[in-house]
Amino acid sequence: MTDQWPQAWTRAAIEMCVLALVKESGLTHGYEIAQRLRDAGLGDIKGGTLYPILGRLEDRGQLRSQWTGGVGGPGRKIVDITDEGVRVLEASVADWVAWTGRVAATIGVTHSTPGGQ
Amino acid sequence: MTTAPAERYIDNLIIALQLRGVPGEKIGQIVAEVEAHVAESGEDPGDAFGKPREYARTWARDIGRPVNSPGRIRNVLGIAACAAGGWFLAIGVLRTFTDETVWGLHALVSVVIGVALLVGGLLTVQKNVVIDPRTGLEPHRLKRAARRGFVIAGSAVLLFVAAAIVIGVALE
Repeated sequence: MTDQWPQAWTRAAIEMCVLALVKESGLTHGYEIAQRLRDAGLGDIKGGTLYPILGRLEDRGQLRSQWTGGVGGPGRKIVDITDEGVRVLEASVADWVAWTGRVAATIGVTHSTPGGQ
Repeated sequence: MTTAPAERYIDNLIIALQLRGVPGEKIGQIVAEVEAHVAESGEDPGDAFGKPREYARTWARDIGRPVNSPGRIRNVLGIAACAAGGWFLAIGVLRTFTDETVWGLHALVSVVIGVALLVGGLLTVQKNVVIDPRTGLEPHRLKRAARRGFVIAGSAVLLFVAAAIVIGVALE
């Protein structure tokens, strides 16, 4: 199965996936998130796409970040999910499940799709 | 390690972000992220983030309005003061030689007014200082980019002043 998905699908799901991965892994950083997205089979999410998303989530108070080990080196921006992030994630996951269920029913698939899990 | 192409990429990115009015603090964050990502992944910054101009555009779009309005008004006033200063300075210098007055004022007074307006105008124009989130300071590795930015901005101001002088002389 392919690992390159239509951009529109990625755009629709990426914020939710990032929040979920950050919640699952606890403290993490941009490059690790990109690797986990790839390992999850969601495709190769470039830095140019990922970091503005992280910035947006932080601006909305759903993620928080802190720089570590940066003096004289590139350092790392460590991100963590906030309570607001958890709340938004739970709400969007519920909606997403309902939505994908309806899409599946509409296109004539009743159970989990091949390749899922 | 950051290589020379990465440094060039970052220089261009800083200029592109500055030109789009992204606040200095945000520029520091964006640049630090690029450096950290490239150092860890070993990717070419252009492959990972796209062209500096395009990446800067993505951020500018997210941030919305470029440069807050009071800042923009200050900058316009500063540039206008520089232009007026250039005019007073040019006319003052010319009439010092011909021993004429400028609007009833001694030509040297016009020179002083011109210099004062130029200096005041330059001080009024706000500098968008880039702050590195890792140190809380203006990063010294940005000096090169800052110099290039300064040369570009300086040339624009000089051009403006030169135009004001030419117009001033033409109106003589």
